[in-house]
Amino acid sequence: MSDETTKNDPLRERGLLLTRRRFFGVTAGAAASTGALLGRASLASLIASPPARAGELTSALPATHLPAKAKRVIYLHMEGGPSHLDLWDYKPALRRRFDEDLPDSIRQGQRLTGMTSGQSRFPVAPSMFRFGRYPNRQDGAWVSELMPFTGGMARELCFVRSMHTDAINHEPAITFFQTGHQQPGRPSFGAWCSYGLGNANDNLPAFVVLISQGFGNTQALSERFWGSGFLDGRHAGCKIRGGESPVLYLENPGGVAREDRRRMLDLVEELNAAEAERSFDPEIATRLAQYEMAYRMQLSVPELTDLSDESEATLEMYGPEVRKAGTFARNCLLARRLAERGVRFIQLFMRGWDAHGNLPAEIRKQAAAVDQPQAALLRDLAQRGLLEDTLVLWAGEFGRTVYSQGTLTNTNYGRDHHPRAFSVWLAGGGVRPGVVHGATDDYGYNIVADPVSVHDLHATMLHLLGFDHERLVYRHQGRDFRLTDVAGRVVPELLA
Amino acid sequence: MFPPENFDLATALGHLHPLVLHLPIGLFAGLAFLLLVGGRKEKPGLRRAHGALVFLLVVTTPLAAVTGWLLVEKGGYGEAADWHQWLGIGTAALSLLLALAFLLRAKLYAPLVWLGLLLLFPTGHLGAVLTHGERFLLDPWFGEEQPEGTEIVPSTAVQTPPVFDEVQPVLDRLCGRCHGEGRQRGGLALHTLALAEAGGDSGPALRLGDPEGSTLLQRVLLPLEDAAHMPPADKPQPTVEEVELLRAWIAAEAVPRATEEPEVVLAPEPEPEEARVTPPDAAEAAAAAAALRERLVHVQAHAEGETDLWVDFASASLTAGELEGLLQPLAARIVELSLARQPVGEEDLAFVASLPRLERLDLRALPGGPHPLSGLRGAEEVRRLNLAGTSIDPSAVEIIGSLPRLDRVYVWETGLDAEALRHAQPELDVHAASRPPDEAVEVEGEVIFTRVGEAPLDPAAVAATPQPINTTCPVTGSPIDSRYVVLFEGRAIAFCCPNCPKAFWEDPAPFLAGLGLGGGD
Repeated sequence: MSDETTKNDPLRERGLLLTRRRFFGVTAGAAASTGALLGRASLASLIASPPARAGELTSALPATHLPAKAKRVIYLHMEGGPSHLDLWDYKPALRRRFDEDLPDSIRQGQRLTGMTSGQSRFPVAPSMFRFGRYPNRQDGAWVSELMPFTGGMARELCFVRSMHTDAINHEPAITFFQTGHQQPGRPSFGAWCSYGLGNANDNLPAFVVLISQGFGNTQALSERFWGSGFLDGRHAGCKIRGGESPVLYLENPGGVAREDRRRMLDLVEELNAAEAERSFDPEIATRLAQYEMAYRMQLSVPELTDLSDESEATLEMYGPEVRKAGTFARNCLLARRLAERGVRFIQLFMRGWDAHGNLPAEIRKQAAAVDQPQAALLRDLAQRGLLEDTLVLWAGEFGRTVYSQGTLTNTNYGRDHHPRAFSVWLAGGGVRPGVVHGATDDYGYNIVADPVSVHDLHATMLHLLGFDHERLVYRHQGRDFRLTDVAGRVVPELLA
Repeated sequence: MFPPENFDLATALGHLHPLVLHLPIGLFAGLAFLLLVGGRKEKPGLRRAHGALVFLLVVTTPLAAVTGWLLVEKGGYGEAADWHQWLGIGTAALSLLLALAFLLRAKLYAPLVWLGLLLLFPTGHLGAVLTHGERFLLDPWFGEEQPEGTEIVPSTAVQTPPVFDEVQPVLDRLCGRCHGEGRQRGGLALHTLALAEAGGDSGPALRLGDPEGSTLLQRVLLPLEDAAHMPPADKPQPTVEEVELLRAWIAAEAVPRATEEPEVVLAPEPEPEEARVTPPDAAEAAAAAAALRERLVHVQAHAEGETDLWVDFASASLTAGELEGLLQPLAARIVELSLARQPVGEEDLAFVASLPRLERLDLRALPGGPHPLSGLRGAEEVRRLNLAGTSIDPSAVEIIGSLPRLDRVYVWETGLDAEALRHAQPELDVHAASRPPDEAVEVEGEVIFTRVGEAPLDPAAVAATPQPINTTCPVTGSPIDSRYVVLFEGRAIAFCCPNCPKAFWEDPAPFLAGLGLGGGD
């Protein structure tokens, strides 16, 4: 029976109306017609639907709106909000304004967080770190002494010094970066990619999350940051852990052989299929797909995390920490291995950038932990021919204030959250290499040239992945939702 | 094997419909006969006879209706089936009513029998149209209807290219019973041009402008014994002239014709584009793509609406030598192919080289080696070649140099001499090991903080970071952690966790006493 006839089957329609999720949610048919690629991209529907009717070859296959420059994303999320002033945004003039009050003309009455709004004065804290000029494809990029390896990769990097966000606290700001909206409940960027692109490797999830603990002040990291929101549950990020068991509950229990597991899954599938026929609950299909994915991951994950085939030279490039599970260095190496295997969206979280007090000491350790590994990741991708179609993003959820939180001394200061201006960088996957985009004022407080919003960044990244961000939509509760909500503009200056 | 693996009870029962439906017809006729011969007087024997027939009727009419319904559900029937279906269900309902009337000895009984008999005529007729075609009853009496206004002429005499309206009567007569308005076997209908182009389950029937490439003509031209020959061997066959007419029509249909009376066209009517650009092998390609998907091979269109394909074996497991069999139907569409980490043999590479449009080839980390890559010779369109991590025989340098369009090659960890390759192919972009990060070209001097109008502070005076003055956290009393130190009025104060400094900064006064720094005031 063709898809058309099942769609119009009155019994099925009635059955679908009976499921609550269906009732409140979206019809698979509507999703397939309005959602860019759902139904086309999902493996299950491809296998289930008869491919025969000609002329529909391409419509039966996953396809992006435009030819894609990037096939996958590696997103290095610096959780806590790293200080752009101490890493990427060189402000030498500030050195002569040490401990001056931040001028009102700069602050412009901006609302501050509760952590500093009570401070009697806002003394300017210049960065105590030396900056160097590294060769790129323009007249060089100034990068702090904390990031010598990354600075040395400036030929490949596209710095955006004019990022801004709407949120001033961690939860809403991370949620905004992750989902395009400050309130929880929407699908994360990775989930949108999984939904839009599908798996290129069916043995691994399309969206994988790796977490490293930092050295500074850490903030909560909720699972919902990589959730699928109202999208199908299979698009949620899968966390790969550092310890003995990289994916929890993946191994067979003692005494259960792989053949037993297969037989069990076959039986469960039969039962679930019968239930699906009776109740028409679309979540059953998700569950079935997840069981099968887990079964395949029982082989693919150990192969993924077994580093015995990595050469000594490669390990050395990532630095000594790579030999320790759970470190950022190890996760960078795993990110490269995931990229090699075709995983679509790999997100690393590095915690500990929330330096309200004692910033110099904290940021030294933080930067030392990420600098060499992330440069090695770029080099490793490049020599394997993967950088040209892997889009790498390094970003925190906001920047930090130029004024000191708490007492300012010659050797110590803190910085509060600053959403108005901060820096991120991109590399690979169709990004214009070796450039610096945008600029802030002499205080690194306000953007003076080429502002880039979070929606703009999302729209640009989706463009590189082959999507028109206005057409990658999913109908939910009567409305077409998208990652860029109702905003976003592709920034042509960031494209190669 | 019995029953076959794909045995479907619904189908099996549905196919019983043509058998079962005759039972109610006979029973209704029997009841009518009994009513006619029985007379008005109530005789016990007669009632028993009625009873037996009514009982059988009650059993068989629903059976006929249910099997019919199952048959319709399997598809392939047009709108005529709708009426037939509802009349059939009506007949079944009526026979149940009739049985009730019989049991209650109601007066309604006899009229219901006649009504049922009456209903059988349209029901049966519609059913017969479904299986035998529209004119099955009439043709023996009135002769076969000749297509009006069609002069069937031999091919040499085909002067003006025929249009669909001229061909349609021929198609209708030869094919219409199964592929017409009433019935669409195999999903195919030929009564309008658009439907004929759209085709059925085995793809589009027509490839306009290419008679030999059109399935419709191919099937007609097959030998009569061939199972795929159309029309079926036991059905009327086309004449030579009719075949020529079809051929001429398909050939002509692609050519834009000058209209006899030129019209002022304001807006051209949109052509049914998709159907026209569909290549004939689309069905085969779609089947091949689906087969690849089942083997967990990733097949993705280059972009929406394009037929260029990216095929990636990231999650599949390939056996050397089987690539051609898997990809042959898609060969003309593949522009990007990734065989990374798969066992790829020289014969596979020879097939890869034969892909006419392949631009990007990923042969990363192939097992085994050294691979001579000799099969790759002649890959004319390849622009990007990734060999990173695959052991390559030095002789391959010559092959790589022979690829005319190649502009970038990755040779890291291949055993090839990147320098030699660069030297031999100066315009080729050869990527080997990434170079280490660049050194800064300029570094600023010592960082010295000043206030406007003040002399710089002595760097030596600010260099040394003082040691914490406390060993327990002033906020919680726990042991200090050296990571959490703040400077307060020139002294270093350590805390146990990152949250305590915040509490401290909120209001340092209460904690100062505990640190031996005196009270808040």
